Amino acid sequence: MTHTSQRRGLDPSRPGEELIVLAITPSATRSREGIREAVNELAAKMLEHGRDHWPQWTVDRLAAIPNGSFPGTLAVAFTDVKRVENLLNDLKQEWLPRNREKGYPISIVLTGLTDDAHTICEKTGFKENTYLHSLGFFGRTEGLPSEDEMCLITMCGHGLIARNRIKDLLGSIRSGELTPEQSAADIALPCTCGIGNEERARKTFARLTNRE
Amino acid sequence: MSGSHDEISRRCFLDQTAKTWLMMWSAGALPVPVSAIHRAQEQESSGDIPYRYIDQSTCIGCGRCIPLCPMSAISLSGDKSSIDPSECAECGTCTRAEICPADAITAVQLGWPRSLRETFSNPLAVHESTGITGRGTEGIKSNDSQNRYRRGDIGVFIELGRPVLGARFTDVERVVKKFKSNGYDVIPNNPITALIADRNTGALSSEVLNEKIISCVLEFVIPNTAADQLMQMVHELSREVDTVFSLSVALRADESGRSNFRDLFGPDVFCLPNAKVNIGMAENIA
Repeated sequence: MTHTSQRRGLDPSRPGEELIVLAITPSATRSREGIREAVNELAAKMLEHGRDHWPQWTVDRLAAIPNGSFPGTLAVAFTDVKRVENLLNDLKQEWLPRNREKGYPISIVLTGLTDDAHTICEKTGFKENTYLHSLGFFGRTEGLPSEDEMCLITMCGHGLIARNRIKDLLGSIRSGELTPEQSAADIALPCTCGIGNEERARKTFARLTNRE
Repeated sequence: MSGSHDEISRRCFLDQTAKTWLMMWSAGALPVPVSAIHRAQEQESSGDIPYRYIDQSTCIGCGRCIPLCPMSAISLSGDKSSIDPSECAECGTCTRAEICPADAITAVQLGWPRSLRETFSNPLAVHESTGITGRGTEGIKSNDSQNRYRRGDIGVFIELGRPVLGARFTDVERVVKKFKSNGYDVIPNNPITALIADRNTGALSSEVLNEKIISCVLEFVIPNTAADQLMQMVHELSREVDTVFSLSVALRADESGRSNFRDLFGPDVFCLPNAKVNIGMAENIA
C-alpha cells in the first residue's frame, strides 16, 4: 500500500517536521498466542513517548487499543525526531528481544524525509530494510488541486479529505470564523489511521491564509 | 501539540459551510445530477435503494454534508441534499462524521458488485480476498519478515484515483492489461487479483468495470534491470487512463542501509524527498 508515501509538503530544509511511526503485524500471524499482548505493550510505549506531544484524539485512540479489536496496524505522527529515537531505544531494551525470541514479526516503518529516517537508524542501531519511494502523479493531473492544497489533502492516506472541505476551511479562516488551529484539528478528526499531523496542517493553513 | 477538540467550534464551522454551499447552489455554481436524484427518489419511495442515500423525507437541506464528500457526490436539489449514486464511492465519510442533524444519511447493505466500492474506499472495511483493511495490501510494511520484495527486484505500486478524482475499474483494467502485455502479473496477494477474469489478458470481470472507488493499489514485481521499461509503461498509461495515478517503487536497501534509487532510475526522474522506510525490526522472523 502507498498510504503515507504520497504526502506532499515535506522539505529537506525543514528536517524533523514530521515522522510517522507505523507498526504492523502481518495478517497471517495475528492469531498467534501472545502477539496481541505484545501489540498492546507497543501501543503503551508509543503513548509513553508521545502522550504530551499529541492531540487528545491520538492519545484516546492509543489508550483504547487494549479494549478494541486487534489493530493490524498502529500509526502515530511525531513532530519531534528525538521522541522517535527515544521510542526505538526503549523498544530495543526489552520489548524487542523478548518478542523476537517468541517469533512475533511486528515490523516498524518510518515515513518522513529519508535523511531523517537514516539519522534515526544510525542513532538507534537499526538499519533500513526496504524503501518505498514516490515518483509522483501521472494521468489526468490537470484535475488535481493546487500543490498547496495537496499538502493538506494528502495527509489522509485513504483520500478522505475532500477538496471542497479544504476550500471551505480556508474561506472560514480568511473570514475570521475559524483559526488555522481549529481547521487543522477538523481535517484530522475523520482520520481512522492516526497519521494526521495537526501541527503541520496548522502551519499550512496559516501560510495559505497569511495568518503566520 | 496544541489543538484540543474541546477548543473547536465545530458546529460554527459546519453552519458556515452550509451557508456557503447554499449560496453557491443558489448562484447556480454547483452541478445538480437531476436524473440521478430522480432515480433515487423513485427508488426511495419504493423502499428499494441499493446504495447509500439521503432520506428525502427527513433531510432539512442544511447542506452540512456536502463539502465532506471526497468524491463531490453530494449536492443540493431544491431544498434537499442528494447523493449521486454513480459518483458515490461508498466510503462512509458522510456517515462517520455524524453531522446530519436529521440523521437522514442512510447506509444500506450493499449488493455485488457495488459492495466493491465500500471495500476499496472505506478504510475500515476488510478485503475478503486478503483479510486486510484499507487498500487490502501490506506492501513494504511487513517486508522485513515477509520478503515480498527482494534485492534485485523493483516492487511497483500504481495507486489509481487518489487524490481527489477517484477511479473506475475500467482504468484499473487498463493498468493490469498494460503490465500483462509487458509480461508482468499483479502479485497474488493483492485484492485486484481476485477480480481478474482472464489470466491471459488481464481483463477484469465485466460486471465490476463501472464501479467507482476512491483508490486502489496495484502491485507488480519487475527485475531491477527494467526501470526504463517501467517508465515507458507509466508514460503510456498516463495518456490512456481517465484518472490520476501515483507511481511508487519498493527497493530493498543495500548492505549499508541506503537506497539505490538513483542508480536504477538516474538523476532526472522525479522522486519525493520523503519515503516510507521499513527499518528491519522483524528481519528473519516469519
